[in-house]
Amino acid sequence: MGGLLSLLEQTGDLLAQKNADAILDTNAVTSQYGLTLTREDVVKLLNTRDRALADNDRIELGQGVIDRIILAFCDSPYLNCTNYADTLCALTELFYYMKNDTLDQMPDDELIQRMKEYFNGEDKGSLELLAGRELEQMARNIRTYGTPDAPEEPQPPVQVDDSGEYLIEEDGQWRTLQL
Amino acid sequence: MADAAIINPSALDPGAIDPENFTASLLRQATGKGLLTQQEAQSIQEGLLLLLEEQVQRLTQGESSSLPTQRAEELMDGIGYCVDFYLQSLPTLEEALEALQARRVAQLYEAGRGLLEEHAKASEGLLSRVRATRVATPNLGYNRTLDVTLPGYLRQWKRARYPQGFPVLAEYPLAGDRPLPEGIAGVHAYLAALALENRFCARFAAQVPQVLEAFARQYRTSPEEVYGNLFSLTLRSLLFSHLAEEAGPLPSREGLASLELRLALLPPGQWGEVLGQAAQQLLAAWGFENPKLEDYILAEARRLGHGVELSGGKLAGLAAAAPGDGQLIHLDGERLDDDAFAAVAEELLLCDQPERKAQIIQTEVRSLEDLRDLLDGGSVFEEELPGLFAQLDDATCALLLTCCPVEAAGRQVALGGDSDPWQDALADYVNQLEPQRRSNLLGLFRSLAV
Repeated sequence: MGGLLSLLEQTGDLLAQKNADAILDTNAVTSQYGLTLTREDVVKLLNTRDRALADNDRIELGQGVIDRIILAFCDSPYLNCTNYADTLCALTELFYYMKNDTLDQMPDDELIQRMKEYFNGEDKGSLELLAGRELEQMARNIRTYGTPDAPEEPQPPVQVDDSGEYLIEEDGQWRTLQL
Repeated sequence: MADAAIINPSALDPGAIDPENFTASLLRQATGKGLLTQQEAQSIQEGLLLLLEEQVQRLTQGESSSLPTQRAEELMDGIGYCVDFYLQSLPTLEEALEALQARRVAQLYEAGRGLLEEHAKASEGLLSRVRATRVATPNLGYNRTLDVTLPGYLRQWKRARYPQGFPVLAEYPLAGDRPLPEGIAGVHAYLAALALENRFCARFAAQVPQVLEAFARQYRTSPEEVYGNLFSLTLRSLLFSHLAEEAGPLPSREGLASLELRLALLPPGQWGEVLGQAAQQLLAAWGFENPKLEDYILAEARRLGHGVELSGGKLAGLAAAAPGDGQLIHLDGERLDDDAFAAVAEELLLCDQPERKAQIIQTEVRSLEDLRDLLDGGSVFEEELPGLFAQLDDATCALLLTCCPVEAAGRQVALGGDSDPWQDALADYVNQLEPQRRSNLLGLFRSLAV
């Protein structure tokens, strides 16, 4: 049965052309931030994507996510015309790695949004911190708790000091009397 | 018959089509022979891709554009399974290719899915019928297949989002252990065959337990653990019994022995015919009036005939005999393996009654070599030997005599000097028999010793 999937490799060229056009179309939006991609940049991005998919044993159908990554990150204060293409390549690699690391539990858009928030926020444009800290913790939370954020720790009970015989502790739900 | 591929080189060659990858191999062959243009091939591939994309979209609820390759392969296998199933249902390869060219892949997929759904619905009805007509048997394989395995396949089919092929494996073998198609079609074929077998076994409901017991003894296991097909075992027992001109469901040992001798007089190529004719005679007597069942029975009789040919006319591995007073020991009977021999030897040692020892020997031992080894090994004490020999039949005693250093066997047996205690005891036993019986026994010994 694997024979049919191998037949589809022959449709790759057609898909690649469509993807390249979609990526180049993003220049219309990103140019207002001073960021544009040349055709060589697009080829490099697509090659990075293909390599990332192969390295992570994934297959992508349809248009892909590169254009969505571009549109999400184009307004980042940490991107400029010098590092734009390379950063996009790194983000693309990171994206497909994280899809596996989060056990496919996160939708594409949510993952891209999280990557953007961390990149622009705590990681201040550092790809190393993004990959090694925030995203790694997020993946660990998903594998442990099923959610990107760890559950909140329960607050210690509030001690109510009165002059009576009993020590009373209250939290939001219970009142405990201690002799 | 002329080879179409030679006459018309561009014709499709069925031999080059891989049934496991029907569509892919058909496409490759058609493209190679110029029967499919590049544009048509590309259109089909795009159709497959679109179908896969739709399934991925539904699976991920549109939230992911990529998925693990293994998952994509599973989905594509499922698409291929449905398309293959439909195309293989068409009469010729040419029609299959025509369908690929003329219809969208999605339509072929839905057509295949529809056919598979029909198999699933038919299987549900058949499963109810098969369970309602089940053979009352303690056999674990049979019961587990009906109660767990087959319902499990149908549940799995209903739960699956997209149809998938799967190997149909069951604890209970069908007659002939025939290969089954993959997936739900295989389940349907299995149930259809089992329904016929159940119908046959219902007719011989009283005989099936006896047959199963006999084969359990034959295989040295219990009726619960026998790995065999009840229909096949019962049919062959009835056939052999009929050929041995005996009335019971199981032939006697003597009947089987005599049948072997009669088969030995015929050329091997006729053994299958003999069984086929016997099956026809029995079918006429049984009057099932069910052509499918009758064909099924005749096919099994043909397979049995082939089995007899392969075994060189020996029925030991194919037939089980009715339990009798005792069984004959054979010169070239089945040897016990080491563990079984040790178990029998221990059982004999622990038993203190000659009658019981004789019963153990008659039940467990089939070959002269094993019997001799047991006697040589001292499993029977000297004082027990006369009692044991008295329980054995004359043929066995005569065979045992052939293992002794007999110097004279006229009116009395005389052994040479170097004899074992059991051999001395046997000679003493034979010599104290009443004259007529001794004479018959020694006559048998002389004919065996030649």
